[in-house]
Amino acid sequence: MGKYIMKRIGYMLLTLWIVVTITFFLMHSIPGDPLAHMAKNLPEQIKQNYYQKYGLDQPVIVQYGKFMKNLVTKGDLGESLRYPGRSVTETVLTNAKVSGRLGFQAIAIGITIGITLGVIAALNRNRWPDYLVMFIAILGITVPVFIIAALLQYTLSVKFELLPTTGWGKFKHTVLPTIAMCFGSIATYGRYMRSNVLEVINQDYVLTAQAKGVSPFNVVRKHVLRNAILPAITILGPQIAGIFTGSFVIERIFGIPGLGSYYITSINDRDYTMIIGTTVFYAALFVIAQLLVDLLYGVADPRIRVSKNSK
Amino acid sequence: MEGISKDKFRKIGIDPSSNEAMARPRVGYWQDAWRRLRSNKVAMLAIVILLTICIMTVIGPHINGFKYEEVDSSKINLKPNSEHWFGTDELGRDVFSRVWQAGRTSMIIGIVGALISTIVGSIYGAFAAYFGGKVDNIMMRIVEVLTSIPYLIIVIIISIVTESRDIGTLLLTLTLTGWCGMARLVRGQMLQIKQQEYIMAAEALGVSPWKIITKHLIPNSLGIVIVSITFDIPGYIFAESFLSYLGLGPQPPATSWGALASAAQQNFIFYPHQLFFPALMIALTMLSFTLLGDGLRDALDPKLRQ
Amino acid sequence: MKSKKFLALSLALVLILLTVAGCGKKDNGEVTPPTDNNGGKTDEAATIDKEQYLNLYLVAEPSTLDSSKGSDMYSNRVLNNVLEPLTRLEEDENQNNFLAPAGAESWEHSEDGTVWTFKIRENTWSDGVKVRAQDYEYGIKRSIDQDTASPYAWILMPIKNASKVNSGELTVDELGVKSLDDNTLEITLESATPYFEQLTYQRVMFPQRQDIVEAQGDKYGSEPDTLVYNGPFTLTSWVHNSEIVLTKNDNYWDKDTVKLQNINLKIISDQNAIYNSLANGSFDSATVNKGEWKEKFMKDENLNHIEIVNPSINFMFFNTQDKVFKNANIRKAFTIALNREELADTVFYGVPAPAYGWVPPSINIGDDEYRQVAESPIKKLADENKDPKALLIKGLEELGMDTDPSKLTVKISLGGTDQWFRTYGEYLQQTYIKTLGINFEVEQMEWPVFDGNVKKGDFQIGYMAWGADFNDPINMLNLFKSDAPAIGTGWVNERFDELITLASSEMDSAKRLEYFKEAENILLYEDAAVAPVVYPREHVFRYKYVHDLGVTPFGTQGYKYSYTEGR
Repeated sequence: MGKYIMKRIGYMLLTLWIVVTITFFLMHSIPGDPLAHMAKNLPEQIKQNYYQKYGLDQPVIVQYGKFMKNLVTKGDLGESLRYPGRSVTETVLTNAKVSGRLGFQAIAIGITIGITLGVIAALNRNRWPDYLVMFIAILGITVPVFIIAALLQYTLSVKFELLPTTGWGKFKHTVLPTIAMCFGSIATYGRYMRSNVLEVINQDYVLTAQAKGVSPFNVVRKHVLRNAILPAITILGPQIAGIFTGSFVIERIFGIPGLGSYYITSINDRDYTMIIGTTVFYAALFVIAQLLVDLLYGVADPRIRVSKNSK
Repeated sequence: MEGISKDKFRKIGIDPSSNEAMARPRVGYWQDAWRRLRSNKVAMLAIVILLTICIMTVIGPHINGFKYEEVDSSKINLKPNSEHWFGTDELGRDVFSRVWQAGRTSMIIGIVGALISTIVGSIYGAFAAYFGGKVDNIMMRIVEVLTSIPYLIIVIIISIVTESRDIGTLLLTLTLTGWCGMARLVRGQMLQIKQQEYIMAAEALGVSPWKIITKHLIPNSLGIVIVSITFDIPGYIFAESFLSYLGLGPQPPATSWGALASAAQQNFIFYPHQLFFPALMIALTMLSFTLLGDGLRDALDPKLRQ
Repeated sequence: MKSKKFLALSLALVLILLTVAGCGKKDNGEVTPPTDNNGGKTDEAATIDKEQYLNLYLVAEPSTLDSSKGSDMYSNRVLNNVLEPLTRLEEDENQNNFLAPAGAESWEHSEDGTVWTFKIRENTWSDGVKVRAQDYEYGIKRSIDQDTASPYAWILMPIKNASKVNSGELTVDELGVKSLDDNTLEITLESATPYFEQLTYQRVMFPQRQDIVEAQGDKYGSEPDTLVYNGPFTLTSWVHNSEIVLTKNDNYWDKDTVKLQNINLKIISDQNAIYNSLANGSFDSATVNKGEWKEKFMKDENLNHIEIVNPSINFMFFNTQDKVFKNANIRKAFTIALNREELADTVFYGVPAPAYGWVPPSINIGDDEYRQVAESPIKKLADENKDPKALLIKGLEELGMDTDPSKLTVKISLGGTDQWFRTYGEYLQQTYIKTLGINFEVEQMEWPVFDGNVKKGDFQIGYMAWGADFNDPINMLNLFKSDAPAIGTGWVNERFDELITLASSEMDSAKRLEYFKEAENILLYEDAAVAPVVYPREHVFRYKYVHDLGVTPFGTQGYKYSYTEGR
């Protein structure tokens, strides 16, 4: 097992390096530079000074070499070009914490409600609880999140003044964005669980368990849930990464200092160091999550574990 | 019994040629699926709704005589009335015509996008899962790289390279990395199926890998793939609306449900109808695809065959 | 109090009527100072609220509080309140801007206008150190220094040797800025510059403490504790992308005037969220530029309404090297085919104002607002040519092209991707198809892509917005000078160049006005190189308990004089 993990970590580093390299050259190939966001045509001398200071006057390959050297030897992602004086690493980590808190709340609620709804629907297949539950689950994703967020804000904080419109810091600030964000997870997990439970419920081992007189609750818990949850883990992988990278729309509407907005603004601003920083962060989370998912597979499904060990 | 004379009976013997004859016409896999789908009222309703929407996206923009792109500054932000059935928007354009015109873009992007990503993703995921080991490892690393590269950069590059932002370009940008999720999902499902005895049996009998993938692995994971398609279609419709939200959607005068909704969202307190109709269309489409997906899932699942 | 509300409301109404009628005398929608509240003259301090604070917002995260770096208006907003520039552009009750002494008590210039001497006021930094002329000197020098790479340093080029220092030809010591003693700052200019005073409140001239800057290095200005303050407020907290808190500075020389204890600035970019926050009282003041919200807030009697015309313009510009748009008559046809009133008043609910000149309103020449004393070239053009289609056909004839407009296809490139640009583009598209009978394509792109295409000359018509940096018409008109073309029309006109050169060194505003008028006339009426569309306008709504909060777009008085009464 240890060897397997070591190997995977090796692959992870390779993947990260490829991602960074591709992104580096891609972002330098799109028109514009960090001065472009000023929407002014600056005098040539001013531009020259700026490019020189931040090394942007050198060929991209030289810039790449310098960047990789700093990254490998010092673990340094550099300074933001849009926000002078701020370290990219620090900015990414600080903002990811905010996004992480929000994302964790949303996904925890989403998974709990989604799985419950999915199981209820499957066990009452084609009867009214099934339709009702699935309707509720689907409703959340039939409307784009920017509309849900705006509606929530208007009703709960403007009409009834129950919660603050925008801001960050206290628990009350997280309520509206969490609600707006968890609809997606509820629907996703609800639908997948329903489908998976239906599949599992017809398997022989479930029938056997029922025949042996295992209580319906335990049948669901020990036999159905465990086997039905597996494909849900696949979608959890990318979502773990998503927890920390936040949501552009939600952060914008509720004024949350998360990481999500940087994925859009850094590109609009051509803030090269920040683009790479956020990309590395996302990619790293993503590959780690993938590894975790693969390991979790083994836990959730003994058959895969056995086969892996035997190989 | 006495009263029945023997000559009422006749020996017909055994006709060896009719041994294999079918008493009823053979019901194929797809025929059977269709039969079962037809008996599912909810799924049929969904099909009817979807067909109606599809037809309306073709003829809808021409029904009430207002062109979808025509501005009229004397009729701005009207509520729905007998002339403009769905009201008008901020430039006095007819929302009824616009909703159907926009639906054309959205439906094409949703359906074609989902189909492309499903086909590419399923085959890719199935291969990775079936071969396992090194092949799986490399294939999955490629997926990770593709998923990790900032999406917006790709959008910008494609719009510069192709010098356009029509439906084709949008589809290309959306599907370029869109299939990765499906690939991972299918792979996960297949890893599970791969361990089943019938695959082992097929392998032992010397069935070729391609056949095992197409005849066993893919059909047996169809259930989850179909559920995923019903998510993918709205997923594409939403992805397109996010691009519109960022201003990178289709070029004017072309429009989409996402573009209509994100434009109307700014003013929804004042003109709820401008948001309501595109949102309703998105919701109806999604709901229908979901219900249809459930129906299809039941109909196609080999284990549920009767 | 009721009567006051009524008064304010009617004032606001009068204000709108006045502006719509184009009669420029701007009025203030706010209530007169609380003097005759109880029948007699009351002590101000007795009636104002005990707790003095404001909840406001910024639309984006300030880039940096290093005044030499960055150039965004959000960091400017904060900087103006935490540092003391040489001067402040303050505003009177009629929202007229005037230059007021701030860090400099007084100043004078030599007769030829090239040497300026500022007397620096006694003031203390937030860490207790005395403010000296050397701090101002250092601030200016650092901004121009090549190694700082300040993107905004170009604005200081009138200072002697600034350009050579910025290019590294000369050292900073040779810059025309020196402190004669602790209280005297002398600035020498390259040549007489009529608008030099307008630069003295720009961020690149703000004071900086050498010891702090050197100790902090690159981190200077990125966090509250990396710099010291000498303005009316200090920065006490800065949660990036979320909230900024300003607190009264007790070391400030004029601290008795400052009444606010705290200002909370939320950083929020979503427009609806801002309006929602104003509606439920989370914000005390907000700028509204959506027509429907404007109407809604106009009805709220707790709010005052103040209308502001930004010193900026939305316009189309033509590629004069293009095979179609090299013809002036065709450019004129496109210029006048637009119904600007319909666009501004009907389509956008009167939020923007129709633009008939190049220099936007709220830019002054001498003591007058330029637009009030100059004519409107576009109106003249439209009055003389009633039929844009005929002009187009005439132009096509001159070019020897097919004179059937329906065979002509023209493409406009929009330099922005937000909803407003899209709506404008869609409107322009339909208008030109209708009025000129041509085929009209719209291409919306990200700014850097647009900018690149324009530089390559790869466009026919461009659509973009431009805002003035300082309060002088030259800032808008020298954009078209042939040696430094900022807007890529490819248009060159010798007489225009000559007029701008003359106006840059002329100290007499009456003569300058004549130069500017003629130049604007060449640009818009004779050659139609560019077609103004609308002047963006903003509507500020604020609760009636808020007083004396600066609103003018150029004004830099900030929160210094503001207070609340009856919150």
